[in-house]
Amino acid sequence: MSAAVSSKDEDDDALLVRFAAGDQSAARVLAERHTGRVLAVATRMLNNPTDAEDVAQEAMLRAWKNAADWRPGEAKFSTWLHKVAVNLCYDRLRKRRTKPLEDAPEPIDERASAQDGLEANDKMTILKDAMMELPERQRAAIQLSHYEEKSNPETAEILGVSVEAVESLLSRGRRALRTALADKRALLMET
Amino acid sequence: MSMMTFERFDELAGTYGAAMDLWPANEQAAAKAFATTSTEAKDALARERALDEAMDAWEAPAPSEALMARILGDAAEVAAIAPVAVASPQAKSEKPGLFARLFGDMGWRPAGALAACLAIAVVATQIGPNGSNTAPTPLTEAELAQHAEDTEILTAFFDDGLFDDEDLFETDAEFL
Repeated sequence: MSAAVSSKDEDDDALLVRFAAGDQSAARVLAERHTGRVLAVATRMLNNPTDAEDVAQEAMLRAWKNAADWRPGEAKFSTWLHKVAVNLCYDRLRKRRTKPLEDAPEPIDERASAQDGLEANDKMTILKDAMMELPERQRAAIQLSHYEEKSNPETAEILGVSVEAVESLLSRGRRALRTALADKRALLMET
Repeated sequence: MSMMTFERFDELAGTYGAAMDLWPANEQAAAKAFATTSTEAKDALARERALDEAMDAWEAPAPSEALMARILGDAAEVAAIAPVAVASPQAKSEKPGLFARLFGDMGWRPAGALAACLAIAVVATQIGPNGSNTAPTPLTEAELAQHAEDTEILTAFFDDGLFDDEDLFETDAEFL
């Protein structure tokens, strides 16, 4: 078995130790293993591809910077990385709220394509609008639980809340999504 | 097997969606049994399945080659600047971190260290995503408040003993 193949089977702790010792091939395996998940969370949290890529890059950068101090066996790396990414998303969302409009990133408006009459685009636009209207913690809970299939304890760990709070965030978030989707679809049918 | 009521079933469906395998393990068996006999339960599952399917339609993109190149470039840059660690899974460096060097052995307690934490967070703000220096820009009160809040959230991980106190700030500061 080659070294490249075996490194892909290596756990995150061992890869972090190797990266901290100067092995760049460990960084590649970690990046290939985790960037997609972090990018997915950021994409649905921010609904802006440029911001989502920036968050993914920044989260991985923090992993590189902290690799030397990582304590194998004490925490799950993916949990830590998701926590960093979610907090970076919160930070971006807060900056959007406090920055003057002219400094804010261009929102991704998919209405133009939706107006082409493609039902799938209409539904996607409605879903994204509804998701972005959720309070950020509800949105984050849904990303982690529904899309990432994290357990309640891990979601709680990432969000820094209790397991009971996670259940509440999920319940309220899904209820709000159901209502928003129903309302927006009804509105769309009228236009 | 615990007793399942429709109210509890509806609550679980509304929280976790239609995939009962993702529901809390200790309630799955009762819920699955209940779903075979209750029309209301089947309706609740159908309602949540529609929402699940709507959400699943939002597919996130795979990381682009350009993003992966930037991330690996960052890794190379960090490795080039940071001292090579001793690759010991058990031993942690005994050298004092920036936080300890600046504030002594006060430890990381959010209430006592908030001002210090905020100061370091402000310094860390000046670091660009690629780890290089960026031109200092004045921070607004709102941005200062954001840093304080963000730092407080991150601190929870450290307070659980899962990560060392000054790690994020120490390594950021090394790039100044």
